[in-house]
Amino acid sequence: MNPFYRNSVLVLGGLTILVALLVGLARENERAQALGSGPETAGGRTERCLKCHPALTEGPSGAHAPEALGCSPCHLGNPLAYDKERAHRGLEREPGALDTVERTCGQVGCHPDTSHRVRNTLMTTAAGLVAVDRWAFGELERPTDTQTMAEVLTSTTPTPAEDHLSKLCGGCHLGTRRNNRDDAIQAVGSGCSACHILSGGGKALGRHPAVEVRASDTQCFGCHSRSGRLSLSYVGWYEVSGEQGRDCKETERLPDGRTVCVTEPDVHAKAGMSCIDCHLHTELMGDAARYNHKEDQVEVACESCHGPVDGRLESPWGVAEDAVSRRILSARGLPLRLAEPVRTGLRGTPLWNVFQVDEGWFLRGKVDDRIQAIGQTPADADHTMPGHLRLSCTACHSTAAPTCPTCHTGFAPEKVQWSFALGRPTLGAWTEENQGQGWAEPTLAVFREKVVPAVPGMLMSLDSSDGAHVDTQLFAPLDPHATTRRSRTCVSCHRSANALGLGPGRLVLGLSGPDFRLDADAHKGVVAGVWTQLGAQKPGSCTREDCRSLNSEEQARVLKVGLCIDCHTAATDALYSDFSAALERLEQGTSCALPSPSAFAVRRAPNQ
Amino acid sequence: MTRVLPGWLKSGVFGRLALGFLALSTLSGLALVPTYDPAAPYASLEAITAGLPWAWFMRALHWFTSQALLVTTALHLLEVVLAKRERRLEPGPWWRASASLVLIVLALFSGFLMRGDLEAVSASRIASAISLSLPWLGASLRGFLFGGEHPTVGVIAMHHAGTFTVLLWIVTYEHGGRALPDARSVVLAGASALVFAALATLPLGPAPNEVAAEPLLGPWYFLGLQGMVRDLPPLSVWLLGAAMMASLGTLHHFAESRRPRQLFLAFVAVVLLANLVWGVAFIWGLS
Repeated sequence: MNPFYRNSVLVLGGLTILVALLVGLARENERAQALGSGPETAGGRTERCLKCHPALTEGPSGAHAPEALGCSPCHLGNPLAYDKERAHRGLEREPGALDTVERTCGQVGCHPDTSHRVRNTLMTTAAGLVAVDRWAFGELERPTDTQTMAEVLTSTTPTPAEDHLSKLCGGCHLGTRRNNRDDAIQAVGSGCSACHILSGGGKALGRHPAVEVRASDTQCFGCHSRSGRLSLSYVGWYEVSGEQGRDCKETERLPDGRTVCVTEPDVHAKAGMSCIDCHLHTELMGDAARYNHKEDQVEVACESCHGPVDGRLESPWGVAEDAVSRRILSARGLPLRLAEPVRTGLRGTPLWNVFQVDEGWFLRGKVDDRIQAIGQTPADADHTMPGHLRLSCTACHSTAAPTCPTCHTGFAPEKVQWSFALGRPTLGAWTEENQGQGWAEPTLAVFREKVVPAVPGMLMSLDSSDGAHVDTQLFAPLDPHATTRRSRTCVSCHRSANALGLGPGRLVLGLSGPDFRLDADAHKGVVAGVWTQLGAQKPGSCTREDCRSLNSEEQARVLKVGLCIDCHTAATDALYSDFSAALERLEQGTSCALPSPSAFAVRRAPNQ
Repeated sequence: MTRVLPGWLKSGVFGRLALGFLALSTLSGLALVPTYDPAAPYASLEAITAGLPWAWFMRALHWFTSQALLVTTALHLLEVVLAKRERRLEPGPWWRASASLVLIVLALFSGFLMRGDLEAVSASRIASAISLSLPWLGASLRGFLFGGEHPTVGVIAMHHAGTFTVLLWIVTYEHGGRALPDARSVVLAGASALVFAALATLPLGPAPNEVAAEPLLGPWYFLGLQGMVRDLPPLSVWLLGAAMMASLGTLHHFAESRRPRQLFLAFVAVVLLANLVWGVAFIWGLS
């Protein structure tokens, strides 16, 4: 008989079948017990994630609610799977991260256009930051370039500046993931999540952070409380170090350990306004175009709300309307009346939350929906003075700015520092130290033919590989976000060495001309706060190509007025309606009570 | 050569076992029909894998008996050729019996495609493109097998459960002379299949919308082919396959002629060996 078909083999076969069925039964029980008890569907689709994660105690609501979306549209994974391993395959723990955003927030049917815009926004590319840094290191001829932070972080042979960027600046780049972040950045995620996932959610299952379209100021704070310190200045905080804190009436301690002194908040913060009340979606999420610097991406201007609009920042809704604004108005149940006027940004994007009633303009808070009146710039002498036509609003209304003239960047090759490029600590650390920070009236710069506030950057000592040594301090134009309703005083510009960028010292005005004596120690060959010299042939350069300190002619004009402002205090004074003509009259013998020149040697520029 | 074969091998044991596997495969396939939705193949497979009572067991049973059917049929063909028993069949039934190997491969492959996972979706596209490469008949063949330019699981499932299975039963009945397997074959086939089903966990590839983290592989019997189509034009696959099947069929006509018979067998062996080498090289290249 065929050995396969012997009775003993068949009996063995039968027993084997029995045992196999028993093993199968045990496995079947195991399978049945592993199934969760939650719902299987969300929004009419199979979402088995909810079987194990049935109820989130907090977190997404509205269109993003788990019962409407489930989990997989944002978190990917496999919503059809019944077991944990398969369900979690391809899971995205950080929806909105830019490397997967086209499959999460940016998928078709959700926000496909926005993800493309965010990819190109400056908060993602950081092109300006990269270019200025590389220029400061002497790696670029000019402070403008198209290299992105992503390119810096993937550079296989990083230059010193690229290394500097990848260790100090890469964490704020929207493309850097949360688990590759400096702990000082208080954001819960990267990409879209950096702004739209609110901090506070726990890691435990069932505690999901909220998804919020109305990004709060807390989200901006993580990144923008550094460098230009905009988020600090806005709420009336400026950074102090060491003993400096003792001089403050009130101090606060930031989550990352920095101490701040409490002072007067920005006038908009006082009015309860959030960052997004001013800043447009085209600035924050981009408009798909790539910009080199922040001032190119930023579209909103003070005049957009406060006027005068001069026929360029106001148009009918029918002309200015864009798809995003239409969607926002619709989502909030606000009317869109095409014939009504709307204020716009510099590129024509409507400020949908600014509206006109009768002759007045009003702002609707994007976060709290609170409505308040917007004051319009009066056409008075202060704002129409011929000599001030080139002044930006911030030149006068930014009465203070954070400064750190003694901040110094160094490199410690023996120390270890986190690399955002590699996502792990590597040898070589960039250090930042200072002998005190400040909060002072800004210096004045000429940027794109407008007079704007500027602040000094770090003192840098650079040793290049070819042996060259450079000590320098760069100035940067800055809207400090420390706007006050009152303007800075006439004296603070017209008799100030600091305003002109001359540095700390004794400025003497006289009929024979001004004189300035520097009164400060040089730090490695650089005197902190010195941008230019009095009467210098060439103005001081800046972190932008079309930015400079006031030139000698402008210095002279500013200081000449300084001779008059003690007596001619009001902007309505006839003297200022045509200052040149007044000077000519003076030369022709018109009486003037001008005292001796020494009387004007009063203003000592503070050490910023 | 027949003299060196053990007696039990001459009794057609693999043929009987193959029929046992065919019966069990058909029954387990029928049991899976209510759980499978061709409109949502991947979701069906997820449900079969872990969501439905005993469906995972039935799928493993179906998979194992189907693979075993291919192996035992190939062994049955080998035992027949080695025993020079081709002439027991008329030329027509012999040709059709040889073609049953192709039918089994098609049934197995269509089952693979019915998984609806990323590997299956990719394999569908590749197979559809290969079918299109057949001169003159390509477009019609693709339409028949896959439902058109974009492979449709419904059409594939119809051929899997209908066309291929029914033809296989007909051919088996024609040359075996029986419609049902003997009880002993069912016990042996069932015992091995049940042990496999009780112990093994069948894989399911990544979801069709997932990004593949690893190279996608076809079924084991097509790994050689997968490597081959990477290096050779698709038409060569048709030519080799047709030549191999023609060689098997032609054996019947040269049962008594030693030299041509050896040549045909050598050709089949070379093609199978090439397939094996290409498969190994393909896997090696991936690693």
